[in-house]
Amino acid sequence: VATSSPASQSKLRLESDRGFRRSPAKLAALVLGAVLMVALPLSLGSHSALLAFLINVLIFATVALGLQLVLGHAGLLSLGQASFFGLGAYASALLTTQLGMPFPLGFIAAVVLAVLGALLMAPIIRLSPVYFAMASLAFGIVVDEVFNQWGSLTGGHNGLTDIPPPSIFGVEISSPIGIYYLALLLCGVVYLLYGGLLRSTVGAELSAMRQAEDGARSIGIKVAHVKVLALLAAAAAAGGAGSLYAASQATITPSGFSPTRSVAFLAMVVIGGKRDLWGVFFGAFVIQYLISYGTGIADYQVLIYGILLTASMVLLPEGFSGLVKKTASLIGKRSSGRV
Amino acid sequence: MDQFVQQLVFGLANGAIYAVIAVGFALSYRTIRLLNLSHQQFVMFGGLLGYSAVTSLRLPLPLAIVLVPLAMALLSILVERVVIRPIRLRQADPVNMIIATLGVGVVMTETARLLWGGAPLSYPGFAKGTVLVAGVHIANATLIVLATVFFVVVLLQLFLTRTWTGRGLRATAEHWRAAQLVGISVGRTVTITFAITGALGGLAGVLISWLYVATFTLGDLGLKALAGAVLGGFGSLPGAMVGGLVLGVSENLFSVYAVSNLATLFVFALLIVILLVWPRGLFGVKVSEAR
Repeated sequence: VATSSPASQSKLRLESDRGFRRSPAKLAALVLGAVLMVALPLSLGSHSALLAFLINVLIFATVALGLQLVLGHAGLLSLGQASFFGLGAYASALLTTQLGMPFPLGFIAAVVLAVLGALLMAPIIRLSPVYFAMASLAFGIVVDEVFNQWGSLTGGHNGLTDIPPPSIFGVEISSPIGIYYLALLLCGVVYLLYGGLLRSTVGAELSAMRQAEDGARSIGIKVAHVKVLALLAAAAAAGGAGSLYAASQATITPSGFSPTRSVAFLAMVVIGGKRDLWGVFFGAFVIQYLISYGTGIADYQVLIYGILLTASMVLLPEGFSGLVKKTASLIGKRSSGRV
Repeated sequence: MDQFVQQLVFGLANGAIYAVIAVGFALSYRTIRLLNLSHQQFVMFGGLLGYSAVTSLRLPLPLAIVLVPLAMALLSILVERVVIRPIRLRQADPVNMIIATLGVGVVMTETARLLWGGAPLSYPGFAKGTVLVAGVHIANATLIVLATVFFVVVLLQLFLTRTWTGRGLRATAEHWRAAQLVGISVGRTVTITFAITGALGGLAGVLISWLYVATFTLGDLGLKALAGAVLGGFGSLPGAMVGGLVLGVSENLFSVYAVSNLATLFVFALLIVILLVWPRGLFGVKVSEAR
């Protein structure tokens, strides 16, 4: 990634880092959240349905974190994020079942394949954003067709079954609690890495690009490179999450990675908010809640995604996290007597 | 050889319908810089509405071909007023509008599934039979589709070049700020663009449902026209016409002479390949955001 001149960097930092700078309060919230997430399954005991729900929230949030980076920070509308998730899931599932490879190798292969898929799209990023949106939509459909039609490899509509649970260095992690902690680890690592990325020069460059792309270009930011980097980082997270998803579910079918699932990921990011990392967890929780506990309204599930997508763009474009931030700043101003 | 020509003509009818849908995608992008991802669902909705018109209301098909596009134009205006206008006036991130159209499309698909059910619905027979043209059997329906599409394209061309409203649309497409300076209302242009794309979608929906079936998944087929619009150079209207026709013919030849169940894969892989190697398309549009 290109580094721009020191002068421009310091200017950028003024604009960009405000939202992602560490502050004692934020650090405390982060630690509290982490402790809560670690302690949660211990208090649940044998409540395995709830644990399975939380595992999915964490896995989907990992994918959604990537989509948020691409959409909210790089300004690229990816309409096929589920395909990277699916490429990871199928790569890992095939290697661990057909070739009997250990899970860590399957995981690495999943990340690599998803990144390669994203790399294919890299040249299109140079065109205007609309072209990337169309290409990602088409990519999602192509991958979905491959999963469905290449029966001899992917098992077609029936998908792949008997995927072994994750095992690391010979230790099989088959209990839901074990898988929960693995998902928490993956999600936590992605969260911290993205947080670090957004506080780094790349984050400043992303922010500058979002505010004025031509301006950013004029001070030497290699716009296309930064965008590609964001897309690859997102695909890597989605691929890794797919690998863990396959191992945790034991069975995968194409419908888990369809264009509709891409819309679900988009809904998670949009309802949670396109900017703040934590908003994604809110979005993932809401959507996964609909999937897991909305069996009575299963017929309306996709309709609800559509309504949520449209309504949040019209009424709440900054999502839930934007609403919280706005409310907090209003309260802050009131109490300090400025408004 | 005769069989080949027959398939060519068959593909041409599909292509003509793709062309109508592709022109909708292109017009929306050309005049208001919007990738309207609800457009293919207007095709689907129009097809199902046409089914109800010719069965429940017992309207003759030619009347449905006129009325359904009008109804879809009204629905499109409603979408523009309720969803698009608030986002546009806020001048937010342009992708917000694309996401909103995607959301509208999802709502339309699911509403259609709940209203009409999941089973494919066929229109009652109209103008069955074939005519023999130069040794090739051509279905009457194919000829009617080609004639209708030709008529509509000529109508659209006349509207865009001969009326002040149409010229306003073209002026906005060239440079919306300059257009605003000479007194063209951008709000009105957006509304009219939505009305026209909605009508084009509705027309294509009736025609395609008449040839095949009407069902809530018809939008997936309508989305293929996007590849036609891109092939012609995204945003170019003649490009969308030619691209749609080429796509219809080549998709049909692919499914007849290659693998029929990979036709969808073929179309969307083609879209990606065009964007990778030849994004300017047949009619050479500018591919970077100029304004």
